[in-house]
Amino acid sequence: MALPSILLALAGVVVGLVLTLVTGRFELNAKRQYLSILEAMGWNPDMLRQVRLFENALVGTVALPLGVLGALGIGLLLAPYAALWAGVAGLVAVLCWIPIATKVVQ
Amino acid sequence: MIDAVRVRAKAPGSWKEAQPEVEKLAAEIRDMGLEATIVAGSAREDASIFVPGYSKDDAGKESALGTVQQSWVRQNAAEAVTGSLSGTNVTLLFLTLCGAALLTGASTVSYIRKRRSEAGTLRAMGWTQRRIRNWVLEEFGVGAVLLAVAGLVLSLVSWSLATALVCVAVLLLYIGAAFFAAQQLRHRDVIDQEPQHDERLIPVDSPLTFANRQLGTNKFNTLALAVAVGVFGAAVGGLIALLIDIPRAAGASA
Repeated sequence: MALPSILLALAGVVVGLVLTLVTGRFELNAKRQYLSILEAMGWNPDMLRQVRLFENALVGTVALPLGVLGALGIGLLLAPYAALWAGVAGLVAVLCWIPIATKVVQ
Repeated sequence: MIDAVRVRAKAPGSWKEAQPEVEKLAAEIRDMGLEATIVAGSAREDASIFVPGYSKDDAGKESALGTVQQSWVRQNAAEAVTGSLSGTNVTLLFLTLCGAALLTGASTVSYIRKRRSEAGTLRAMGWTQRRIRNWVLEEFGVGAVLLAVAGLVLSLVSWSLATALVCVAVLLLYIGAAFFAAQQLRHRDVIDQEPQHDERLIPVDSPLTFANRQLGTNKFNTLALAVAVGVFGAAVGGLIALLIDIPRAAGASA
């Protein structure tokens, strides 16, 4: 009975994931280019990893309020008593995205 | 004195399948001049009930029994759960539509960036603005036809007005994005300027300052990615809220 709702919610997550992939690809070539320039300038792999991590962390900082408030809002609409858990899930999702994006986009 | 008779209807299948048969039987009982209340698709529920005037003492003073716990039946619980899930579906459909709108916007921006240089080359080869516009619209047209077919099939399979409306909304959004992309690929004279000295520029001496400067320089990309990550977080939160809510919805009809 709840299968359509679960499918729709999963579709929402997939849409969000694809959205991050599409927007992450906007400047992917330019990003690879400046990282190779920095490497040629003598920056070591650890410093280059830090650049990617800090970039994603700064993006994550901007995304955090949006993700948490959005999750709280959706939680209040769908199941008010589970809104807090929804907010926590939104927070964890954004925090998990930071190291994953750092690892994946190289 | 008999004031209530419980009639058990033998109707196979789920509540949804059996409901018309049960309602028909109830209507037949009502036609006999009796009152009929359908309790199928109901759920047991513990209720706290205050019982006043339970006993009298020798002086004739009434005293209450207090609050007792009793197992009562909530009528039409199955119907209520079905209705609440329909409401959930509408909310989720709306949210998915918002995500799809953002996705269309992001894809359009990506498309414009990729095709800008091609449009410039074609313009230099003598293509008119109108021809470039038609080229963009034809490319989007293929996607629009596929979307329209998928929407039509989905609407016919689900036979629901909400699905049809969502499909039409997505198609309109896509067509709007096509016209926006065609507009953005119009030829413009770009004045190449040397970067001016900016007091706000900070020296790059660490990975953190470099990352900060890169993000500050590409504000649009930074903001678009932040919105995308935020939408992803919100969607995950929505999924978790729904998963937590399933046992409650199922329990209400048990």
